Amino acid sequence: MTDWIFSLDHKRVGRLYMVVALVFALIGGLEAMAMRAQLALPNLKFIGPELYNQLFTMHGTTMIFLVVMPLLTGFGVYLTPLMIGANGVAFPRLSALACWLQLAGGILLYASFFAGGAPDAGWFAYAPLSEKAFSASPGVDYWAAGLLLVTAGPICSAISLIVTIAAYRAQGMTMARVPLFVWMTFVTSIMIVFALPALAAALIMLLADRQLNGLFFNAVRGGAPLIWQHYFWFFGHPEVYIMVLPAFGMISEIIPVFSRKPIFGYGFVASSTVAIAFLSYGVWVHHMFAVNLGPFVISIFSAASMLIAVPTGVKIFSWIATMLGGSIRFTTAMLFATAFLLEFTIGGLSGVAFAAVPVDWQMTDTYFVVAHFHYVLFGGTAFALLAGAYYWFPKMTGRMMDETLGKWNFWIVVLGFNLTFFVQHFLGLRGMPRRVYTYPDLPWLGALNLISTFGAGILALGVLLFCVNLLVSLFFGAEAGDDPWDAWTLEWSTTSPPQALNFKNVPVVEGRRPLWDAKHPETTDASVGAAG
Amino acid sequence: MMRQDDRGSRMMWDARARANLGMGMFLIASGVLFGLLLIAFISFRDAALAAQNLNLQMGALLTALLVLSAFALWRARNSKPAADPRPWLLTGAVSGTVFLIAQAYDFRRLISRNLTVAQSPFGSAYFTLAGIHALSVLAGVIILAMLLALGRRIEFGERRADALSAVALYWYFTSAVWLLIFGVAYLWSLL
Amino acid sequence: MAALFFGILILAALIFAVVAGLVIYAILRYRARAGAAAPRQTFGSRRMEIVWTALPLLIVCGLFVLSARTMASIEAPQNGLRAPELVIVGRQWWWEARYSNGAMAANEIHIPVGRKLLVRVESPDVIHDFWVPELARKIDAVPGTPGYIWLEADHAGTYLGACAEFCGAQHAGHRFQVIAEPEAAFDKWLAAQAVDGAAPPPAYLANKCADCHSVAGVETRIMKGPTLAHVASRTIDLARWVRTPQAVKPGVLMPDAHLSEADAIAITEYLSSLK
Repeated sequence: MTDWIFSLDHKRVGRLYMVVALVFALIGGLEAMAMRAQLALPNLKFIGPELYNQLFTMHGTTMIFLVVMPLLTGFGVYLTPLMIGANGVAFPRLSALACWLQLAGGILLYASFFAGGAPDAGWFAYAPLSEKAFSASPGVDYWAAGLLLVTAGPICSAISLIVTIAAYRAQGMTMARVPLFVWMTFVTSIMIVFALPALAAALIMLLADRQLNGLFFNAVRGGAPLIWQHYFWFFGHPEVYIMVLPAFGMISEIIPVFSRKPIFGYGFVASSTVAIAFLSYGVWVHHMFAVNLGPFVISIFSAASMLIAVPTGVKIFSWIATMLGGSIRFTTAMLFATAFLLEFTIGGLSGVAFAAVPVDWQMTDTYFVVAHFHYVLFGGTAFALLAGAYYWFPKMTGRMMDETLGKWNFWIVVLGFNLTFFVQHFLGLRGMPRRVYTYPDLPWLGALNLISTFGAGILALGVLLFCVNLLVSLFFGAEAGDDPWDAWTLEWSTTSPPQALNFKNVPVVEGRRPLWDAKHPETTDASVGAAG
Repeated sequence: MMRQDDRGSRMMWDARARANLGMGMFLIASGVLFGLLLIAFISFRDAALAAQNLNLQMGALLTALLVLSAFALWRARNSKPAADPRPWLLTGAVSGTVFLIAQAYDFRRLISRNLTVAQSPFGSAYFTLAGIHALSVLAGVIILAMLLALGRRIEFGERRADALSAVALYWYFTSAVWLLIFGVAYLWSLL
Repeated sequence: MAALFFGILILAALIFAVVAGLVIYAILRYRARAGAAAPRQTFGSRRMEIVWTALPLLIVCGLFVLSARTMASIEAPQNGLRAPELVIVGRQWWWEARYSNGAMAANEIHIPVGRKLLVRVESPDVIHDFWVPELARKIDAVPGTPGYIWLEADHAGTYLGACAEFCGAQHAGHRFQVIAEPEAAFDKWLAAQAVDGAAPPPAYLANKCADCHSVAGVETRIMKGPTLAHVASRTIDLARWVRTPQAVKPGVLMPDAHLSEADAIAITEYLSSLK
């Protein structure tokens, strides 16, 4: 036990992230199920407004900060050294600390339930609602303090990963040759360094207002509520790309291997990622189009928001082009990766719709938005994480996940997910606002909500099935061997699971696919000029 | 930095370079944090309140103290391998501590003149910005004290040199942030 | 507006059809065959990348132009230089309307059919959002930063609205109606709204209803609760509100006053007379 707590081994730290995140995922999922139960029919009195508002606040905060980010960080910390041929991360204590900071923040956040009530101002806690005058219970203080800890975590792990990728690559592995997952992790880590402190600044100002009677957001006394939104979304928009880029990285590893073809346009995928990183700091106002900011400001950010859709969307073409002409094996990992393409496209398209300001002026703050971000964050990131789980579980544990259970897992999740969230586009179009604990019995609202709740039940089953598969495979899975998928990157050249010392000998890397080169000495990537 | 026939990035990034890169990333993050607090302060700028309450001499003293500590860390960082950097580290730590005492004294003076966090948005912004900055000076002083304490048991060799390099960068940054605060809060408002 | 919306819908459907079509084609055509050799290793195509970047770029440029023109045609002047015909104040958790003759309305906001009104939307407490989807864009009511919209109904009728910015416990209950009526009927209504309600009975005053509610037609004080001057002309379950407001709208700022039954009857009768 103490081995795990004090371990500096990046593989242990990575798995610790994942296990803790899974626990929070189940809690966040229960919060979601409670909300969907309350919304199944109009005017239900199953959960009252005060509890409901705490539930949606905690659900959003949990899923973003305590599930998606730690899961992606966990994969990043686990895989990065293995993929670049290193035996550890830079600053291992910092990396381990990051994991504990996130856990501490999560515990502090959930302690609020026992200390007078969880935060209930939404995961975005707009001022003035989040000020003491309108949120008297200490919930928002726990939220702010918990998030300060949780914010420190990713910054620490990002620093560690940036230096690791810069400094610990194997001989011959230039930045033009690192696996795309490593590229994405690198860019994401730099984005974290620039974005997370903005949230910290906003939280400090909110705590100053709440605890020291500060006036930052007090409009009556000369403060400016809008500063909260500007700072929050200056963090918040890059944050959504932080949550999706590593997922893109996973997809960029999985689709090529199961198509038996290299990624189509490595340079293009890498450079479009850098473009996204830069552009993402210039679109935050699109979360505020309904505010009176003046048409000039709003138009600029509308243009930028449409622009950023391009580097994001064209990657879909790269992945499809990888599949075309390939020889595709439909393992569970590949199923999730393929579904990702379709789900993320839907989410991306509804996102571009919002960049058109008049559409946003009707659809923002409705269930149309809820549908949009669940398509990109669940249909996108979560599906990629599921694909990544099935793909790298053998490497991490030495056992294969069960493919039969996996196929059931896949189809039930796809059915449940789409049933839950596709109808929510129509709920938004029919005028249902978001963040409401109930709704009137107007045409279609009841029926669509009932379908959505039903879908959520199926989705929950699918998630449970995934957990069952995890546990069953952990104890009874077939032995995996070093390289069960016939893959190409360095992590597959060592044992499953890797020893404490990742690599005894790392070969000199001469291309983007070291194991392909090793397995096909006559047709290495370098021999066709594609070594990067 | 990246050449096509890279002999291995490990060759190019020794411990000191890695420490500098890590600290550099941390300072970017801090820069974003201070930058946003500074922007908030600028948006709540109140020349009248500043003129009535902020003392230019005190501001100049605080600035001098931090410039001195940054200079001391610069000398420590660039001292020859054989020279003992500890006197410079001590200078930096002492200078930083005096800064903290003076800043605390100035905060008390302002509060007694009824310029508080709760008095106006200007007050909220000034105390938050200067307060967070003071906390980072405190962190710096503590780290210097730790380096000094460790230095007595272990000779100042290669490994301490990486830490020293990184800490020096931290002090340059913290002093630079104060220069900005001094410039915006004191000079811009008072002159 | 419809052109923009349907344009985007069709565009999105087309793009999705292309993506889905390609994916399905890949799944069917390039499924691994047992024992097959590795497929041809292609690494990319600069030409394809340029094409499939340029095309979306052109599409979003076109989309931006259409969007900007639509935005310009529906946007109201936001600089506050033109006096609004109607001022809407969003509060936790009811909507107040102030008309140019000083009359006030709460939650049921009448407007004349066929007239384009400049509406200023503001809030003294937290951020709300005034949204009546059939008639106008939504606009945030930010304390310190009022917003402006055009409000116009082409046909008479009752249009439902909701608050569209989370504003606390009863955000879900922060709904309203915009009732559009012909010009003559509206003028009559507006004149009637400006008339004071009858003087309240002792029970009303003794139970401090007047602390938060006004029965004056034109009220210059800022009152915490909605005007009751013509409350009986609204669709409200007065008996329940008077006795147990927390049961009607849990979390509402009006406390349960634990009235005696006699007082409750007297107050309800009085309010029912305020047409």
